[in-house]
Amino acid sequence: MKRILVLLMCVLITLSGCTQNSKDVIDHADEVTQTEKADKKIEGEITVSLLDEMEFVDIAAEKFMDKYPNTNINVETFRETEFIETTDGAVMSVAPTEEFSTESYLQQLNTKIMSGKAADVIFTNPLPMIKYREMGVFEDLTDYIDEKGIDEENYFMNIINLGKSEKGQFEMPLSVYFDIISFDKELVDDSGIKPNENLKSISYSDALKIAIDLVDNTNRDNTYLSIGRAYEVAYQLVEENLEDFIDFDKKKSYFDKKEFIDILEYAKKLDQEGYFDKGTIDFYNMEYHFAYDIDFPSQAAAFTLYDDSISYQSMPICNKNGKVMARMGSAFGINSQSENKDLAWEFIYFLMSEEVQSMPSFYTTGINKGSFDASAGRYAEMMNSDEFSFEISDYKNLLRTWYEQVDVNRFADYNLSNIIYEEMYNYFEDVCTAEEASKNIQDRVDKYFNE
Amino acid sequence: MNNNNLESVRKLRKNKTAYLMLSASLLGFLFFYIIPYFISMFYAFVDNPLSKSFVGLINYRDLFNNKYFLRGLKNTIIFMCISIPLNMIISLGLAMICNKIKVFSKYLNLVFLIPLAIPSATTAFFWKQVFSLNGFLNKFLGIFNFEAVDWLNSKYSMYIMVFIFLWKNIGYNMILFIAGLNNIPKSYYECAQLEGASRWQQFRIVTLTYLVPTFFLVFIMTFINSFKVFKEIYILTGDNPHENIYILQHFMNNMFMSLNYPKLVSSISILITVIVSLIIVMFIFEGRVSKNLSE
Repeated sequence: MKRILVLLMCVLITLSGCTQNSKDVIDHADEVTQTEKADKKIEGEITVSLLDEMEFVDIAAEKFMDKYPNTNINVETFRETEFIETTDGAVMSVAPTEEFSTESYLQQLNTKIMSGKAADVIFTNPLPMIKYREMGVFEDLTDYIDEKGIDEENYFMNIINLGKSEKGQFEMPLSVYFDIISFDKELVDDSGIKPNENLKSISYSDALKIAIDLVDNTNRDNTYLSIGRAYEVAYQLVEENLEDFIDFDKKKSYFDKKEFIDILEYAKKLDQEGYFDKGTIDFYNMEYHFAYDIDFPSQAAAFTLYDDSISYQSMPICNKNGKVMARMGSAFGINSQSENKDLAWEFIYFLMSEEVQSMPSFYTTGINKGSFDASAGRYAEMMNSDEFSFEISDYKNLLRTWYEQVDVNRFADYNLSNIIYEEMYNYFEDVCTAEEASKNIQDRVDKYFNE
Repeated sequence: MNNNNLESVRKLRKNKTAYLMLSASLLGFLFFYIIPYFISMFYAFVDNPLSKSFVGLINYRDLFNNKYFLRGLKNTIIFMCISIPLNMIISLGLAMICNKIKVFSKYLNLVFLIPLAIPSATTAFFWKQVFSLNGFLNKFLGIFNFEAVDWLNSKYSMYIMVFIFLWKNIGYNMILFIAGLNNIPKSYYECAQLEGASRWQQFRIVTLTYLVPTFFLVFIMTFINSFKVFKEIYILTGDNPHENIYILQHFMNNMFMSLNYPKLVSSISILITVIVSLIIVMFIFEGRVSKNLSE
């Protein structure tokens, strides 16, 4: 027995010794790489892992290989988007089957990461990044960003910084999602109630107060707060006060606070008092009004600038500290076990370039300021017509102003936002009480952090 | 070569075919279970599956300070303590009834075996229709003005888990008990009757005593099958079930999904140690009892 124990200890000590040595070798290799970065060649082969098909990544890979003939970029897509045509000719995407669920993708990715065979560049949006960062799955991009001299002059650094965390920058967002809120102009004209004209952004709770006043002070029929539902109101209020409910550094949550229960009950009270439509509106044959509307920036800018716009004072939603909240769009990270990190970074850097971000297949406005005008202009032209029109330069300026205001990440982790959304939904569907919902969220978020 | 060795060689030659056939399964077990298990044990002693720095027994210490691991362990133990004895008692009762019934007994056996043949996904779908908020059970109870309950997400969820487990596994144990009952010679009962033993005494002294080897087999099979209920529960409630039905496999599955291999492997090793120790103890005990019975 003693012999077995001694042998076991020897094996463990040897293994730990080997690990330490290999780490030293990697550290040393990193130093060498740093000094050689200036004259490195762009060559080799990498794989890019995507959950869903992304046309711009495929095209960018082709362009990159044309530009650097000694490279090979393999784009691996977990699931292809399937479309069906409905009887009235509309085309709809089909929900993925169990085999191609996000969970299946994560299981496959985890197995590959553990066997050291994961892709070099990984699309990070669907990943539980809090956990992945803890496990060191991704490479810190800070040095790469500094080395390329990526700065405010050419990029929206405020958006790039959304990928930063306490321990470094492990994700590079290529675009951004955030909400623009606007008020119904006719309701504002009726009552004279309006937000401060100097406001550049507004917290959701302030916007909600104005919207309630707008609904209360009109004689128009079919007037409601928004097209959304009560649980969406509660969700917005939670996001606005997120710092009160989650301490990401200490991995603690405080959803059992009275303030959280108050938010739930307040939103439900609004619902009970008739501030939300219960499916009575006939959108084609009825006059109706929503006191506020939340839209994505490129569309909101167009609706704001139309000659006979019904939107009044559109602006981004900020948190209670006045910081505009946003979510990263199409973010990528480098696998820390990649054998060709430099090439992986070069490819990500290429995805950030004006060349890629101004491609029509990129669809949205990205982080590259050089491509911003081209992308925004393309969308503006699409939204412009003889009936509804605006000055394209005004559109670009308005959109740029909003983009420059982006400041903080909304939920850093999709799993967390899903937990909160699910449990709040249960409360509004009368599946549980506010106290039970609060307890369930508290327990699930705590478990997610500390399991 | 002494006589003992010669005897061993002779036995080996005689059972050559048996050993050859067993070796295939043994190799499979070795390569797909034992070796990967010991290789993965490495992760129990490192801080992180990627940096792999040696941390000794810290993962085990952390595990026993982790309230979710302890919750999973507690619920697993509660589930086993309720479901295993209940399963054994009910299946023994059903086996005795089936043994007494002369007509349609085969069909009755078949009815109890059907759940074993139904795939987990179908089973889960069925139970979801029964126990969901808008499910059949609530609709039925609604007739008597009972308020709807989200059964799988309530304090009753543990009972639901036990019920699903019993529904799925009773048939299998029942068949084992029927086989065990049929192995007890009729003459023992006749002898007991002649001695004036009551039905209860016959059951206690003859049936239970001679079913001991079957009890061990049923216990071990039920114990192993009790871990398999996770599949249905996971399909029904996902990775974040009600705290009453959060069992060890939930913890392990979530650790896998978040790449926390050190915690995953540490908890697996604890679980395996408990399972193997229990089974070894059971086998030793069963061996002794069987020996006493044969004497």
